[in-house]
Amino acid sequence: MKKDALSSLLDKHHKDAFLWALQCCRYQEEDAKDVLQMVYLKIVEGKARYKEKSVFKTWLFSVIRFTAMDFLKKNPKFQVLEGIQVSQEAYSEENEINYRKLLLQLPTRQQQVLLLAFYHDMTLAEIAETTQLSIGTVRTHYERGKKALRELIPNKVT
Amino acid sequence: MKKDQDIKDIFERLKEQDGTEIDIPKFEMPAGKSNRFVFHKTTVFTAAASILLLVGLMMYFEWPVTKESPEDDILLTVTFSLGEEEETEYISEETSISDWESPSDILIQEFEDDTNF
Repeated sequence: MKKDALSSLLDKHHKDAFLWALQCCRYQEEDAKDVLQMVYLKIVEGKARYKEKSVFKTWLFSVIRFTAMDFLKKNPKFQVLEGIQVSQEAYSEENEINYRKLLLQLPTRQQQVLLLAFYHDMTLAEIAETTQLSIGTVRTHYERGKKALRELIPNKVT
Repeated sequence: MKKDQDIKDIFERLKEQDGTEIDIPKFEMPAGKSNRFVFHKTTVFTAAASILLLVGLMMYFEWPVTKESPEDDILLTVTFSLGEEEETEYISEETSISDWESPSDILIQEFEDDTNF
């Protein structure tokens, strides 16, 4: 793919890509910026190549996810324990829900599957491609994630 | 109520929250090292295979052919004419040109004939 076409595609998906990078980095903005720059550099230098076998967004999200995972491994100070009880912090004094903190209480896989499905409007097949999991596994995380999220906010959302 | 509407609502509100609280940085394409040649493994393997194939074909067809000098041509002619002379010496009158035997065979035959005496 030519550089100009690639550049315009990346520009088109930039907002979604940044938000996904942010979600993969557990809402650490500076890390998300670093991860996204690393992703763009990988693409420009040809280390990550789009072979047009899948939807561009799916491929881009997959590269972002892998880069973020690698980044978090190399920078363990940013890793947050899964399932940590922050439910008290998820509600402000005005009893407003902080949805981000609420979501962070879920295991990473469940978070990512739900975010890709409901936030980024991906199908289960696309999620499976992005996360490199089988559709069956994705479906399991999807159902468990929804159940867990409902348990976290039983009567808060109408 | 639609299926999973409660979950959809949560994510809709999360989107709204993100929209107001997160600044999306401006898109910038990194310069990278685009002016430099990037050698991928496949490119290197293809180039190596092409060179090997070319060398193999050259060896097979004995190319480049060394130009023979006119002296070599003369030498060849001389050798040929000598061979012809030898043939005529040993071929009997009865044998036709199609029954040609090499000079060495004829010599062996002659030797065997001598032993009979």
